[in-house]
Amino acid sequence: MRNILLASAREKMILAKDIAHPSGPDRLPIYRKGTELTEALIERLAGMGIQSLAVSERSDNGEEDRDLQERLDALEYRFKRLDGNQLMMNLKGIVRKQLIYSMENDHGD
Amino acid sequence: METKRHPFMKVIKDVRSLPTIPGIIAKVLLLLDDNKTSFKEISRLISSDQTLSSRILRLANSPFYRFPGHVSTIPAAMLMLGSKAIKGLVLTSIIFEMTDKNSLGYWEHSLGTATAANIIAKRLRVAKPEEVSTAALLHDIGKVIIKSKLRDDYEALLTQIKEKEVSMREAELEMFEVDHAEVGGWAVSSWGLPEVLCEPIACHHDVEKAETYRVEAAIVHLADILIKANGFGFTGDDFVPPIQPAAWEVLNVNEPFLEEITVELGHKLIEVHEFSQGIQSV
Repeated sequence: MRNILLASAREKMILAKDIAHPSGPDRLPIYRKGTELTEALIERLAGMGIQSLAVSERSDNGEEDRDLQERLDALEYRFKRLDGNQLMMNLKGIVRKQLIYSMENDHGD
Repeated sequence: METKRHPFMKVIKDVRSLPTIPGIIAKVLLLLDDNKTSFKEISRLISSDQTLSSRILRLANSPFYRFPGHVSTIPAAMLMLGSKAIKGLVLTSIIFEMTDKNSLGYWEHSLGTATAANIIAKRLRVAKPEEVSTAALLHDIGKVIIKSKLRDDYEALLTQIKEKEVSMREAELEMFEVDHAEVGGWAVSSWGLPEVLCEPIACHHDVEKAETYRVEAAIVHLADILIKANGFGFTGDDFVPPIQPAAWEVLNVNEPFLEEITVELGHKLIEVHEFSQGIQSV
């Protein structure tokens, strides 16, 4: 999965996360994860004021789960020398939470 | 232990091997130093060079300065950024020449750090956040200089980082007894950059050393760490350095502050990623 600006969205890309109407009161998803983008859909998103979205080249969930796991492993590696440093461990926790949230809303808190 | 440090700094400081500064840039830098020169004269000179002016405008409109609207002329960019930040951008255009086409990781890290520095500086109500972001944009220029002057040693550095699992700074100190922060600080100072940019660059790994601009140095230090923590871009090693107590103290921030910055940064880094992919084509 990658986050892109709507200006870079192209036909045939696959939504990697649900999209909710930005000004909708209930924030219920109006386009579901897995939806294939079309020119018309991109225009509708622009009209709604959506500026960025998450897309994946493939629609299978297994690929995304592996992607998230790889990123979490890389995060552990980047912090591996800081185990005894409480402030840095807390920072790792903050980045981890943000990473999970940004990749998969339903894995978040 | 002058044995390693001395020959290293001799090569680094050898003016014959310093990257050449094109005539127009040297002239702009001189005019920016001269208090008698008007904004109009400097604007005219920058505008006369299409490559330089388009790069400055591109950077002035980049996500890390976060100006509302579009900056479309050099005089407008100068007014919004101020002459010190413009000077940093003029020098940034030299780094474009120095880095090879495969330096996306370096640009992403530098632009990301500039973005994080801007967010932190604005939240802490620092007087001139644009100057802090510009220092952050240039903070790793020492790495570019070491790479361009000492190619073989640079390869040896990378090998050491991989084999010993150390940071680039640790490998530099081991091999040369000088790190990229000191090299960068020295280089930008010799190019005539003001102290508000030089000191944060020179002290971004040793905040306690900053005497005049410790807050600015601490912001660049923290921004660098947040970008490395996010794994955004790449500049030689993966390891996140610890936040130094001197930086934490002078910024007087707390963990909820780190969380707020991380969340805001997450949104901005999407834009920065897109921006940095196009930046080298300007």
